[in-house]
Amino acid sequence: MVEAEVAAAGGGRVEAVQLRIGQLAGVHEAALRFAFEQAREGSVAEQATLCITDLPVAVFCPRCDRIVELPQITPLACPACRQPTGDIRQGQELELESIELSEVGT
Amino acid sequence: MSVSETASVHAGLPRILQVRTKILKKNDELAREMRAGFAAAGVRVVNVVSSPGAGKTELLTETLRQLRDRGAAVAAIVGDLETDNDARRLAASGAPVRQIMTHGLCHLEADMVQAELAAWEAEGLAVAGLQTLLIENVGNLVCPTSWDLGESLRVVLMSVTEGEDKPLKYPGLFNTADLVVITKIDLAEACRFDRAAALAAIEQVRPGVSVLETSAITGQGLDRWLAAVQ
Repeated sequence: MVEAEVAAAGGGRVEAVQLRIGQLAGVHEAALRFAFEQAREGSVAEQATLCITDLPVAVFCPRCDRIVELPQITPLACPACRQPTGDIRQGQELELESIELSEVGT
Repeated sequence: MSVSETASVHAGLPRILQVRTKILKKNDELAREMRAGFAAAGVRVVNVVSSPGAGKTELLTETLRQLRDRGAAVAAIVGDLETDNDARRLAASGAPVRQIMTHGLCHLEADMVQAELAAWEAEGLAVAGLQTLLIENVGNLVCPTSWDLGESLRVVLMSVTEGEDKPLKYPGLFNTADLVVITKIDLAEACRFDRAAALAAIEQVRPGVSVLETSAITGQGLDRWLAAVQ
């Protein structure tokens, strides 16, 4: 995916890859970093740093009428008023946010 | 290192490509297309997920058998790392069944399902003529979470033998359930199954989700289950 984006942008060497990972995405950061080390070998991202933004779970509480972040994944309930809510607004992301490039051969 | 020093090293400022793309975009897009196709053809597609040994195959074999008895056109796809044992069990119902052997992959992906549907079509089975397609996912409560198969109903099974707190241990997957089925309910007493604790755990990770209790052996709860997948 990174190689395709870099090729589409006219090439270059990847300095950093920025991901956004929600706490409910089912991704373990250490395992992902380990896999990244293996996957980047021989690619345009061989020297790249992996940056991960960890996104906590946030739900919409119908009683408080606002989006609230949860201190932990469960229970899926408003931390302020205890109202159970499955209306997840953040925490399921598994996204490639950005790629930092330098020019080839420098 | 200042910005200008960085620039001199790289002979030009680093460029940032803003991408903001879902990593599973390819799967998501295919699954969306497949879901639209199933909906247009009137095929109900049920993605059944659970831990290994929760009773997926037993429940689905009985489901295929009873739906066929009612005259419904049904079929099933089953995923396992190795062996076609489950396909043979499911096929005992008389329904068309295809086995996906993933050879190590811990979940099914949309393109794998699509390939099996194409193989069926090549054999002369019209997928659009089905009423219900059951997909028995690889036994795993983690990775199937993120892989949409184009289903219209995602069912998560938990058996009375595996502990009431399963939903709390695997909140991500249970959170994606459209329906939770507690299986092997005929063993509830022998396992000292705590129904209230199980329901409370489900409610904590998927508030408001419907919960059914079934036994593929005694037939308990199957009428409501069959109505849900038909």
